[in-house]
Amino acid sequence: MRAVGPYALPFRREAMEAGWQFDPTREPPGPRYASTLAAAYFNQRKLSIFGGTNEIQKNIISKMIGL
Amino acid sequence: MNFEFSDEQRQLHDAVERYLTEQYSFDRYQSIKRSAAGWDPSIWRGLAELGVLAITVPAAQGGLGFGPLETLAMMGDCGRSLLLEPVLSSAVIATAVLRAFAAETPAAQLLAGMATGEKIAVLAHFESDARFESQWVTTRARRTGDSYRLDGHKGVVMHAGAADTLLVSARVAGEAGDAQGVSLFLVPRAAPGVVLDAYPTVDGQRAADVYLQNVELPVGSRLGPEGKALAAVDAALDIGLAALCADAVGVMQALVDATVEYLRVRQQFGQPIGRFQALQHRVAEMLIHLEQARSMSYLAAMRCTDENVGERRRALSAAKAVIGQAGRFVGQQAVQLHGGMGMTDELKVSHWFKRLTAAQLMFGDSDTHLQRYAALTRA
Repeated sequence: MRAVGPYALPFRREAMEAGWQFDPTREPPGPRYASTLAAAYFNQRKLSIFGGTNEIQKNIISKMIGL
Repeated sequence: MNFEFSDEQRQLHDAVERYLTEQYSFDRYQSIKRSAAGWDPSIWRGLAELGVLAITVPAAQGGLGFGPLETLAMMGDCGRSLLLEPVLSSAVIATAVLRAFAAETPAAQLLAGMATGEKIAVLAHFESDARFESQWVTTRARRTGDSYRLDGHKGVVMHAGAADTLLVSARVAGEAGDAQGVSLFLVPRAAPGVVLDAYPTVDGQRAADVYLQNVELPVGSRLGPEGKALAAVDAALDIGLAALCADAVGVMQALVDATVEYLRVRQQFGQPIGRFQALQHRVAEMLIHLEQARSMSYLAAMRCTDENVGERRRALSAAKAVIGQAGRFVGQQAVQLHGGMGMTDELKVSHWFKRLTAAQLMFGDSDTHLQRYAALTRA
């Protein structure tokens, strides 16, 4: 997102669909790979939450090392 | 130094806060966001009646003649309410551009229309290859007799679809990167040859890439003397940057408030999660970031009209860099502390987070502004 700057802003819902292909007659604004960057960033917030949050994991680790 | 708002500033803030609290609920925001236009003319009229759209319009054009501090006083409320209407684009930035040319009739007339909410104008300046560099203008304006013909492409123009008039920068002389040779033109959005590729942005606002193909304009649509408009554009962008910072601080405050409230009520392991020291410290860090950001937003507002361009730029870059970093931390941690709920569309948290993320990408990100700050400090 930092690399593409303002072109991380346009939100193209169709780009979120599985198997989505670029329509060559309807080029997105900015570089093609920019379309999904922001959505991916927002979605990746889940990694430190699901399956036990980072905070829970750290609790477990601190118990493990005898604290 | 005294950072208290004056009575007038406080009244403005209170009026905007009251109006948005009553009229701009989360449900209202959601339905406006999903509407075809992405903004609500009845809200726009309400803002006009409050005077919000006139605050920085000069008194001679029917405005209130206020400045950046009054703008700051109300922008935080716009952020907190997730306002989608083009206050920043039209009532702050385009208004600031036009003020520089208010001695001329076309700009003065447009300002008068904007003060009452009848007209909306937006600045169409940045281009797809510009990467926040204001002098990178490749759009061309060729003069033949009494008219100009414009050709070019403007990238991610916020609220272009809502505007009656686009303030388009175009080069009459020189090459991309030159400080001289750029003029501004009043371009009706509906003019033949103006094509908008419109889309929502990730935070639910609207923008468009604007294509200009052989757009014919009378000479009178040029603002100011030929080739000398870039200083006015830069001055307006700096005023806009300060206002965007205030919007972002309003969002951060809302996120801290919501997170503190959530930590008080959310129970886990038989107690509110706010009892856990790890989370207490996290919220304390969020608050520290918020207060640093708030201080920088005041600095930005105070300096954004400074005639010393170097000092002005340095203060604004410092503010944008700090607020970008603070926004990233506060936004990410607000989501984290809300857990999975913080990612859902049903909670305002995710929407504030997106608005903060979008703000980081507008007018230059933290990296860009750190670089500019360093360059100005060396100079």
